[in-house]
Amino acid sequence: MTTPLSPAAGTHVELAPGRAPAGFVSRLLAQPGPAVSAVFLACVLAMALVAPFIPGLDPNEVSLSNVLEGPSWGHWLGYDNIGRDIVSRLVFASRVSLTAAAVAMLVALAIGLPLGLVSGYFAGRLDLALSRVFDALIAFPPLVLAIVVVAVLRPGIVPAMIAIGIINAPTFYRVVRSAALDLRSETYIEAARVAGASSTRIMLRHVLPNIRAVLLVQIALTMSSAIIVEASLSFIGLGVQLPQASWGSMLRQATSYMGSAPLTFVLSPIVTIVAVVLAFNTLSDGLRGAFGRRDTR
Amino acid sequence: MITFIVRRAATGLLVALMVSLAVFALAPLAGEDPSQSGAGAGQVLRLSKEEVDASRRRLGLDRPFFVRYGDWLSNAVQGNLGTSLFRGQKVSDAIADALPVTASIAALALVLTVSIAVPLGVFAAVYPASVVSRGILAATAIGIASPSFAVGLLLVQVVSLELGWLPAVGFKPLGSGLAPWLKSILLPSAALAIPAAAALARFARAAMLEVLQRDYVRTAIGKGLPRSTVIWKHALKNALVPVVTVLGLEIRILLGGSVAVEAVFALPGLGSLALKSILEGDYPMLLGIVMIAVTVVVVVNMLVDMSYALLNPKIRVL
Repeated sequence: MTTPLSPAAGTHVELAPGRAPAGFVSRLLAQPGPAVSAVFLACVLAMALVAPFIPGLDPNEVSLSNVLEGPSWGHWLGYDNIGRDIVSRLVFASRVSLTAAAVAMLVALAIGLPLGLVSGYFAGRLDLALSRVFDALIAFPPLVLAIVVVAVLRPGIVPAMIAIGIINAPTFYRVVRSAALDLRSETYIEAARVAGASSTRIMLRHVLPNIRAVLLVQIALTMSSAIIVEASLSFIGLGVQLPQASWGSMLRQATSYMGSAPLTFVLSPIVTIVAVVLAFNTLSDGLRGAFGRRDTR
Repeated sequence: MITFIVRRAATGLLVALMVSLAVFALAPLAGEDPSQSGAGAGQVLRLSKEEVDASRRRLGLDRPFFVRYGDWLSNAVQGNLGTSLFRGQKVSDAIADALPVTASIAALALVLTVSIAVPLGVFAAVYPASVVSRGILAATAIGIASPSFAVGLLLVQVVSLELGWLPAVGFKPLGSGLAPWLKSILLPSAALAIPAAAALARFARAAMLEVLQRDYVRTAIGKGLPRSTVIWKHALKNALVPVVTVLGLEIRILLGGSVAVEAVFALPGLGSLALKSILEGDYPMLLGIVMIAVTVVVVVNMLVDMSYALLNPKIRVL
C-alpha cells in the first residue's frame, strides 16, 4: 500500500518521544474546548454509573396513558412509543453504548498494541508480514467489515463489540508501530540493550512508557469511532438486541414513529451521540496539544 | 505506470481471493445449516435424516470444502454467483437489481462531498482569521461527529416531514427521468456526504494552508498575478494531492455508511440486500455481495493510488 497519508485524521500523530511533562492535566484543562469536553464526558460517565441508584429513573416502566407524549415538567424529553420515559431510556442506553465502545476499544488495543510494539521494535520481516495483514484489513470500509464479522458471529452486542474492535485494531497497530520504530534507535534504548536487558523488558519498560502520549490520543479517537459504529450497527438491528437499548437502537425504534412522535424521541439520541463523539474528538485534540505538538488538522 | 497497475491489480486480486475464502469458510456458520432448516422449500420444516441428506446433496454441501470453494470460484469468475437459499433467485440478478440504487447514492454523495468540502476548505485556509472560517471549523467538527444515518434521520424530519419538499422513502430509477431520480436520491446522498465533506474540508484546509506558505505561491502573487488565479489554479492543484487520497478513503466510508442510510430511506440497495441476507442466513447471497464490495474497494484503492501518481509526477510509484 503506497498510501502516503494516514487513513483517518490524526492516526499518525507525530509527537516528540518523551514522557508526559509535568503539569499535563493542567495543560489539558487550560484549553477551553478539551476542558469542557472532559467535564462533559465525566458527567455522562457519572450519570451512567449511578443510574441504577437514582429513584424514579426506570427505563422499563411503562405508562400507557402517556404514549408518545411530548416533554413535560417531570419528564423532560417526553415518552416513547410504549410510554417509557425517554430520559431514563437515554441514561440507561448510555450504559450500554459506553460499555460497548470501551470494550471494543480494549479489543482493538489488545490486538494492535502488542503486535505494533513487536513489529516496530524488531522491524524486519515480521514487521513486513504483519503490516501487510493490517494493510489488507484497513483497506476495507469499516462498517462493511463490521457487518461481515457480525454476520459470521450472529447479530448481538458482543459480536458487535468484537467487530468494532477488529476494525479499529489496524489504527492502533500503525500508531504504535511507527512510534516504536522511531524509538528503537534511540540511544537510551540501545544503552538498555547493551546493558543486557531482554527485548521484552525493553519493550515494556522503555518503549511502552514513551508512547503513552500517542496511545492516549488514539484511545480517545477510537472511542468516538466505536460509538459511531456501534450506533450504526444497532440502528440497522445487528447490534444491541431487545430488551437492552443503546443510543443506536433507540433511534431504530424512533424512526417508525417519526411523523407522529414528539421531536425529542428522535432528536435526543442523535444529540447525545453527536455530543459525546464531539467531546471525545475534542479531548483527543486537547491531549495532543497538552503533550506537545499541536495538530493543525 | 503499466507495471504499477499490474502489480496493484495482482495485490487486489490476492486480497479479493483471501476475503472470499474467509467468508466462504465462515459465512455458513452464521446461519443455521440450510439443509436442516429446509431452505429452498421456503419454510422451516422438521426433516428426517434422509431428507436432510437429500437436501445436503441438492445444495452440494456433502462435498469437501475445497471442492465446494473451487466450484464456487470458477462459477463466480464466470459471473455466476450462485442462487439465493430462499427465493431461488440468482444472486447476480439480485445484485444487479440493487447495485444501481447504491451506485446512484454513492455517486451523488461523492459529487456533493467534493463540491461542499473543497470551497469550504479553501475559504477557511485563505481567510483563517475570519468569523466565517471559525464557523466552518465548528461546523466541520460537528459534521465529523455525526453518523451519516443520524444526519439522514434529521434530513427526513426537516426536509420531508416538516417542509414536505422531498420524499422520505423509496427509489426511482434513472430510467423514470432525471428529476424523479435526483429527488429520490438527494436526501440519502446528502446524509452520506455531510459527514464525509466535513472530514474532507478539514484536510483541504490543512493542505491549502500548507501550500499557501510555499515560495512559488509568494512568487506568483509577487509578480502580480490576480490572487484568485493563484489560489484556485496554482495553489489548489498542489493542495488537491492529499485531498484526493483522503477522498479515496472517504469513498470506502461512504460504502459502509450507505448500509445504514439505505435503512433510513428504505432504499432497496446493496446494503439492504446484505442486511436481509444476514438476518435470513442466506450465505450465497451474502458472499456475492461481499465479493462485489471487495471488488469495488480494490478498484477504488487502485484508482486512488494511480491518481496520486498522476497528480504528482515527483512520486515514483513505478
